[in-house]
Amino acid sequence: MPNEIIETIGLTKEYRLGQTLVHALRGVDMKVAKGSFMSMVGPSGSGKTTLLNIIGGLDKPTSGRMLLDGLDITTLPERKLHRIRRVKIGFIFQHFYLIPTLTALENVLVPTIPMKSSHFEDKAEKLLSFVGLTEREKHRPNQLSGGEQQRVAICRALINEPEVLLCDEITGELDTETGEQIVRLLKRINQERNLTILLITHDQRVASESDRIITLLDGRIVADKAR
Amino acid sequence: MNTFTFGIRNMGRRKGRASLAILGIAVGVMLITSLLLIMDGLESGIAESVELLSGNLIVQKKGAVDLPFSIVNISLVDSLKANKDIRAVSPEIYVVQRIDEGGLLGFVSVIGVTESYREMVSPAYIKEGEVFHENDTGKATVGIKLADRLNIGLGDTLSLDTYEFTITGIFETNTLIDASTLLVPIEDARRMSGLPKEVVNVIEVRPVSPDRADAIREYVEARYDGYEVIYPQDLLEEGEEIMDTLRGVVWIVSSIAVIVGGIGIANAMLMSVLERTPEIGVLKATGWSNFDVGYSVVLEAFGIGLIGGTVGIILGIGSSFAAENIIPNLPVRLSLIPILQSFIFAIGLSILSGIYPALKAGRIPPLVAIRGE
Ligand SMILES: Nc1ncnc2c1ncn2[C@@H]1O[C@H](COP(=O)(O)OP(=O)(O)OP(=O)(O)O)[C@@H](O)[C@H]1O
Ligand SMILES: [Mg+2]
Repeated sequence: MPNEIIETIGLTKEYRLGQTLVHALRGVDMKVAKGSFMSMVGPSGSGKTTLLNIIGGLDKPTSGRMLLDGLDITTLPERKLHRIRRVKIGFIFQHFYLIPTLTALENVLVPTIPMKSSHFEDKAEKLLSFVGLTEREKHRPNQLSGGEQQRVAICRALINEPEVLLCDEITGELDTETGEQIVRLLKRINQERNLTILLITHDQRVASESDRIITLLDGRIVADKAR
Repeated sequence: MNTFTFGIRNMGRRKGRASLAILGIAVGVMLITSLLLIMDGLESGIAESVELLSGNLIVQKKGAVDLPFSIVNISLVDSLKANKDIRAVSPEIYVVQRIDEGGLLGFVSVIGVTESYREMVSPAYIKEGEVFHENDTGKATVGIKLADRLNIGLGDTLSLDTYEFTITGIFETNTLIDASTLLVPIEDARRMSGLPKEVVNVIEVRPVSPDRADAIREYVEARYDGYEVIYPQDLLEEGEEIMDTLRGVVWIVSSIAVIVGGIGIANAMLMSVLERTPEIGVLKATGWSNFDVGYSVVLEAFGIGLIGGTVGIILGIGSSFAAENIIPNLPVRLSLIPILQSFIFAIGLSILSGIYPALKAGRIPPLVAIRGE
């Protein structure tokens, strides 16, 4: 078992837009140790989201490899990939993407719906209580504040006990204080559950909460600072 | 929660759109159900009328298109009576009379019979009153449903054209003739039809046992030129052939309606899927497989079909009974098979309509969620 939960080798990603070729990633080599809390910063268009999607198996690189726990996921077909996403990866997005007709509790349970198992309910309740939303279990997304919705989304990402949590600008729609609360919550999760967290942010203060910051510029890692 | 409840609950997200899709399928199912029920009623009505004759044969003029158009010489009666295979013989005259039903135009069929008619049918057919006698005139026994419809009872007088009949008996055979027929003395019917003295329309014959039917037919057709013997069974088969054709037409017409309903479902589902693209992307990102997503969409379509089918069947039953009230002589009875057939058809078609949107949904890449398109 490698100590690195994530290893990327020469990742490139190109998009063809008409005649022009957009180089979103131009060769990214990176190792992430199990249990680290890492943030990715960089100007808009530098390739952060592209990289995160490839790491999470939502997108395929043009070339290069992405090893998750030693397994190259870039060659896996979709019918196997979805299982990796289910078991190993948790995603949190800027727009929380909760299902409007479902309650907070039900939204947390969404990833488990196809799994035909009923023992998740307790776990979902525990997660909601962990993020301080026990009172809100039966509320629908439109009855929740942005910060509360994002906490529900975090619980949804955690319900399958993933090894890696991938967060793309998750404080982008929240005010500073709420954003900080969310990041502190992630930090707690990182420490208490030894969960590896990768977080994209534009906010220097959010980044400073993490123990490693990599900076992307024009599809390359230009700085990698441990703290 | 499981995929089933998830799919069904998604149905409730756009109530207006779902309701329209449900309505679309319901209208088609209503059409199939009511038409099939009416057809079934007609068919069993025919079968029962034939059963009433219970093995009786009819001697008529060769090639006559219908009983009132046949002419048979009365002299046949005696010679038929002499045949040992024949138990009873009944000369009959058929007249169709227009009748005024509270401003509406109605029809009754009048059958002129002799006392021997009693031996043609089960003696228990007289429900109230009694059968008239050979030489009576101006008396009639009436079918129980016709009596109901015309609101007449024992002792009442019924005017048909310029003729008047006193009701002396009410019969019940539980067949179509209960709702349409008046039995009168044969000479009264002769006056109404204008048939000359020496002829009647047909002679009904009751064999000593059903297996003598062929022998009787041979006897008659060999002896009397220009006459033929028809088995009621032939009529039944002919009727069933017509019914089968009609049934095919009913299926084609109402299938088109249901298919249009199915297209409505496909359209509604496709819109929902497109609208929920980001959400479906998130489902994918949280580990749902293409199949899981597609399955939930198919279940949603199934839910629409289930409700639409149920509503359609209720409306179909309702409208066929409404039709029974509006159109006299239309027997409708609830039978399970047509109901099940249209229900299964609707559900199957709904599932089928869900498949294309489901494939479409299954193929949505998870990426779109994060790109926020
Ligand atoms: N589907 C696509 N088609 C074409 N070009 C794309 C596509 N997705 C991303 N790109 C391009 O790839 C580059 C990197 O995009 P990416 O979203 O990874 O940047 P980012 O660092 O996440 O930016 P931001 O901070 O604005 O979210 C950009 O130039 C972008 O325009
Ligand atoms: Mg981005």
